[in-house]
Amino acid sequence: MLAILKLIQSIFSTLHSDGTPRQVAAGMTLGAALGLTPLLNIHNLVVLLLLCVLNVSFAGGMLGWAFTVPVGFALDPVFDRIGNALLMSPGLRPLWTSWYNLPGMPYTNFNNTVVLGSLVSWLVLLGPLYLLARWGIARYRATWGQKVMNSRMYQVLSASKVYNMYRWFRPE
Amino acid sequence: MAIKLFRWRAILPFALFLVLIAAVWLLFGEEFIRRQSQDYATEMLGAEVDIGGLKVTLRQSRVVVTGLQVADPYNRNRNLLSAGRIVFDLEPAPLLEKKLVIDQMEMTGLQFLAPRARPAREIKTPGIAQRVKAQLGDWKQQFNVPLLSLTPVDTIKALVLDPTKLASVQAALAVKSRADSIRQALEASIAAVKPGPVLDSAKALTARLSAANPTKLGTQGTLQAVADIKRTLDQIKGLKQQVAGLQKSVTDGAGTLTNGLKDIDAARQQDYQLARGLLKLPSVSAPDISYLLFGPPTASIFEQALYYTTLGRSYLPPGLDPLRNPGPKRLRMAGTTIAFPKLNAYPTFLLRQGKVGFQFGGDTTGGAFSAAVQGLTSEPALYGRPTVFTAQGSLKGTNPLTLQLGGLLNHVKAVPLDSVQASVGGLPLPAFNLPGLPFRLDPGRGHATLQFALEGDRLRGHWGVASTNLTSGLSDSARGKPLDKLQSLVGQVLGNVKSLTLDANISGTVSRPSIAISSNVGDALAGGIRQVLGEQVAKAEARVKEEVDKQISQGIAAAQQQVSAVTQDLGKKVGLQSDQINQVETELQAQLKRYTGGAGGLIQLPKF
Repeated sequence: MLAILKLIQSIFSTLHSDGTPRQVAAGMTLGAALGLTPLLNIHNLVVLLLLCVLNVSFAGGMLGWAFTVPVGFALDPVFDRIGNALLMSPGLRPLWTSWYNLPGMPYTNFNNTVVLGSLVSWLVLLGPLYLLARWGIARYRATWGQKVMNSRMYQVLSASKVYNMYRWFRPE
Repeated sequence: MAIKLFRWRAILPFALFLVLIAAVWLLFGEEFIRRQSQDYATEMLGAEVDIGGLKVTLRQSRVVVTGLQVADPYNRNRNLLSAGRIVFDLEPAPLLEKKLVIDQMEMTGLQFLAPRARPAREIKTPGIAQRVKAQLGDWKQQFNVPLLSLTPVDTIKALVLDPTKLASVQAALAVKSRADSIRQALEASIAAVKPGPVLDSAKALTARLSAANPTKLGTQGTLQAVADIKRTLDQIKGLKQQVAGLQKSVTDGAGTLTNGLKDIDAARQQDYQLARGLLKLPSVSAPDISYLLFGPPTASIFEQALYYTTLGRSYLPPGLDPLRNPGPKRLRMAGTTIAFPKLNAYPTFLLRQGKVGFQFGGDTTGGAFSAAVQGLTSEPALYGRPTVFTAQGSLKGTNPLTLQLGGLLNHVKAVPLDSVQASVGGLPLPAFNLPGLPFRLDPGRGHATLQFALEGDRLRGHWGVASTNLTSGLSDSARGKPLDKLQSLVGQVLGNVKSLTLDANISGTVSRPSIAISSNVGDALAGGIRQVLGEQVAKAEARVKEEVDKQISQGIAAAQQQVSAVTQDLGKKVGLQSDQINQVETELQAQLKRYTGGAGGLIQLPKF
């Protein structure tokens, strides 16, 4: 329950005032990796680190994650095909063979079709996702933002104490 | 105001998060590995694998597994093996590449075929083991071992045969139709030869030249006559070639049809078997009876050997191609995980040396058994040597037991070779019901041997059982039911047999295997049945042959008639043509001699 409350708070804070549309969009784009690719993989730890240390909206990252989880599930068969095509490509085989035999590298699970396919897809979609998110945030703030901020539900949510926990991750 | 790129204060919570992950790993890591190993092994073997406990000691690169149980994929109520404690000493460097290289393995408290406390769950998840099972399918079903029939001969009343279902009738129809088409084709060829004009012209020339005197024709006239003879002889030569071709066609056609008649004979034997089967006549042949009695368990033994060798080939494939395995289980799609082996690198899995101390069954203690395995690897081409395993040992006491086992998985060479030789003495052999009979045999303790080899696709193997304390009795389902005369006889025969020797050999390929079985029980049963029923069976078989012959005689006679029409009538026609041509040719040759002799040998003629 607490997690859901925190998530809702962060979403609204993010959409309204926490950071510029660029920071929120960058956070959402990074967060999309958590949703599009299988979560328990080392690259997602790197994404999480970036979400923490880069001056982007952490809550935006959570928002991007929440939005892309169902998309990731739905697109798994596509990722599987993409990953399979890449891993079985004769031209790329020397690369995969050298990576597979490098210390540490196999722990990234790059040789799994879904992991590789989803990660490559996310990397390819980085630019478009960022632009789309930035445009969406700016548009929201210009149209619906003020009405939502004045709503009773938002007042209740923002009064909650747990909201303070997010200050550590607010963009500066 | 410029926006800063980094937010350093968030490093602390991230570090805390990492510490949390590390703490969770320390607390639950071993449990996670235990569960993962359990699931992976279950999927790998196609049978439930349980691991009681798992302890990792990083400093010593050691993993200790306790309470391992591997269910028998063919019998969920027992374990294929269970082990009290297994110690794995790992090589640390390959772990950085997510590869498992085990320097030494020691397994103690290993038991085979011990009953399980609860039945193993059925494994249906798609994996290599399931794929191998599906690939083999009901491999043993192809041996199609019928039940031994003991229907009393005096209950056989009538044999109803459908002529259209008889193979010899079908074969006769096929021969007849083939004879028709060959006849039509040959008759058309004979008609196309048309020797009449050539022969008539040759005869006219012969008549004209025989009426003339070569000495009065002069040189020019003689040369002209010789040229006419030569031209006609050329035409006759062409005719002779055509007729020779026809004769060859007739001979070939006759050969084809004669083979067809042989096929009819073979089909007739099949029909005898079919009719014999319809009457359910008891078999009196010892190899047949041995096959009927011991075919199913023999096929099961070889099927299991084939399953494990095929599974071994799937997990230990030859060559250095990428290896595809199902990805890890997760909420998301698992996908496929692909390994990319490289020369001069560690294989994904390697057990350099393993030592095993074990027991048999659940009722023996203090067994001095030991086994060893060397070079078990997922990429034999990288390791470059075959996997070798051995086991031996003996137990003394009231129930002495001896074991010798050796095996080789050679996937290094182009054609993989997997072989195993095992010999177990004093083994409690399982009691079993005789298929189709209301009896049960209990071989007691005996000696069992198994040799099995799969080289490429070729199978060869031998399964032998010897026991000197065979007992027999009614099967559970037959108790309290009356036995007929023949069943009583079989019961008596079995009661007199106090030992069991069974020799089964398998050969052929995986897709076309064949099994030959001999046993003293089969010999004794065949002798007993022959003694009592031999005369009746012979009479019934004669009746079967008579009935089959009656049904097929008309069709076969028609086919034979058609064949003789082709081979004799057409042969005669072609022969007649050939005779006519030869006669005309002889006459022309005579004239030629006469005319060339008349020119005083001055005219040099080409040789014909």
